[in-house]
Amino acid sequence: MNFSRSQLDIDVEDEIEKIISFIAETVRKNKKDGVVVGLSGGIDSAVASALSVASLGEKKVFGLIMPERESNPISREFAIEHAEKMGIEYEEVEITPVLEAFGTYQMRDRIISEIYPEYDPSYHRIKITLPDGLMDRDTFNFFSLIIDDGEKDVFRSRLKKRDLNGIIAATDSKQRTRMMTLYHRAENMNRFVCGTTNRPEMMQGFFVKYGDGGVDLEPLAHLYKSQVYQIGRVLGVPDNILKRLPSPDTFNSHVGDEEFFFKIPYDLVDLLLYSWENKVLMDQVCDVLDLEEKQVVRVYRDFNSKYNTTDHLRIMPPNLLD
Amino acid sequence: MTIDKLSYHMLDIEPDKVAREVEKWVKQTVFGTFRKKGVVIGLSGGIDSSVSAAICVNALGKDNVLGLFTPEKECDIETNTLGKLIADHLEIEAIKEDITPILDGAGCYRRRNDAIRMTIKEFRDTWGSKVVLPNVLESDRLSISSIVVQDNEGNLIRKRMNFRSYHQVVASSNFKQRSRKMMEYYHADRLNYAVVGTPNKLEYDLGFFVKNGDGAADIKPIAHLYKKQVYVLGRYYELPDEILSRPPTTDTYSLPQSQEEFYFSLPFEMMDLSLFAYENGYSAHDLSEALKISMEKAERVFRDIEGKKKVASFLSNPPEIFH
Repeated sequence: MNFSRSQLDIDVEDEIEKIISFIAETVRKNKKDGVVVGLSGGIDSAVASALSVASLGEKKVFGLIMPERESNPISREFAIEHAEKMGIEYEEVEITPVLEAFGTYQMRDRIISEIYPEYDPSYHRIKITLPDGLMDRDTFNFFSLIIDDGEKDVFRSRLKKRDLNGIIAATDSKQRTRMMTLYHRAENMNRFVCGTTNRPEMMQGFFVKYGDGGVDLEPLAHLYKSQVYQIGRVLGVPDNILKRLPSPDTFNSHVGDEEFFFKIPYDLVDLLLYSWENKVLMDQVCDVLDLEEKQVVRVYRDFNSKYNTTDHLRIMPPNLLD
Repeated sequence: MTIDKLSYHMLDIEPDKVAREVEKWVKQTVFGTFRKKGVVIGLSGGIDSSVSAAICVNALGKDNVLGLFTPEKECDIETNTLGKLIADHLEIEAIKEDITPILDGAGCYRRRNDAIRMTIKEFRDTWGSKVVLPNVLESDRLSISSIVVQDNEGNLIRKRMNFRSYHQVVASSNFKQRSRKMMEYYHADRLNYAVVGTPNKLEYDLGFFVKNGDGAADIKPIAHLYKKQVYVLGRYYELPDEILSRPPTTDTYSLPQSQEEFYFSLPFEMMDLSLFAYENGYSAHDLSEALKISMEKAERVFRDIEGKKKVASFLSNPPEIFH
């Protein structure tokens, strides 16, 4: 098998055609009047919405921008710029009140205060990261909590499993509240909720069950991240969005997807994921990507473990029906 | 091959055998497949969640089952007391989370009431309300639902809703099921537990649940059991009489509403047998004899089941993915 750095280059026009008919067919088959898409100001939702517009026309695509008080303020600006450019109807719904009522911030901050008693949410910012250097040493997936005061890091510590679970449990309510808000709108308009999960996220379970994973159709699930960008460039996604570094935008201190989940740059995630899925010969992988075998083995081990532990996210809940 | 004449006895089960099988499977799935330490289960005080909880307690041990009560301001008071009753009966830990503030924050009540006013202008926020579907047995025009409201003096007003008003009422009310599920997942994620979904076979097959709401779960232990069979298991587990004798309700609207009014066209015993007949190749004629209803009505029931099954598969399946 041939394997090269341009492995994931696609015939963009052709790919767009295929996805357009998939969206139109799915909406038609289910007798819906269009789609609702959450616009995060990131590349995936920009491309998913642009494809929906190309498929259904701008009148049948509704954008929802759902910031909360810890979102990067630039996110909503980019989302609005993109929605205006596409000419779709959109609305901004601030989800902070729901999160406050749910206890998202309070529950999370209580755990953080136990770990770092000086924690003051009025000016400290937090993020959670994985160790870097995945390829160069045998790290485990230990998450760390990092707190900064706006200028410098003031605290950094590995998180205990119990505290990590508590923090993730609280912050996952952000994605789930957005899901609720999207469905409210979609059910109101007899439309489908369009998801924005790409292939690396899908394969490695980088989404919240019944949160951003709880949607009716996923037009990007087969696309590697670099392919999403290729399509985005052709469909005229604003430069601001194309140039932005991918981020989950879940914590108030900036954390990239790389730090938070993938641990290696996205173009390498793409190519290594491809070689892992397609069992490309090890020699070829090392040669083309200029990596050592033990580096590749470490990444594959990480892929395997993420794929296996997130299996339940991709299937129907187990039941005893025939 | 001859098939036996359709009768209610076909749904008879040996409860000890059914219970043993499902308990074994729950234990294997939660501890083995999922590698989770236990389960979270929302307790509504109804038969389905109560039986599901009993199964989990027997399968996983009572220390590994966390009950959750998620009342809101429009809930039937009985829901709280019966939920508490089953938690005490099974001796499991249970947490109460009032979801009213979340629903207020999301605009659930406000949006729904605005939608009701599209149909009944004089409706006030202090009045009660519920959605009622027409009975499919009376006519095929099932698409027009009505809203019933009750003013503060107890007078009832009933009016048909247009599609827009209906969609907005349902879309707003669905915040309730989705907020509950968000709360269940919060506790499950925190404790490294799985979330139990409690649809029975009627609800599961016919799509009587909210997508990403009560339809969302990691494991669904009674999705293969007809409603009547769930009651049989309830008696087998010796659940309190108050739970065994309570008629099924949706507890979603402020006025009392039966499941029959809102979704199923027949009382559940008849619905059970109709679904069984539909799935096992019986004719409308067989069904009309077994239920002692007219051919015309039996045909309507089959058409209703067919339509609902189509919707149900969309509600249960993972999102459509382009290949």
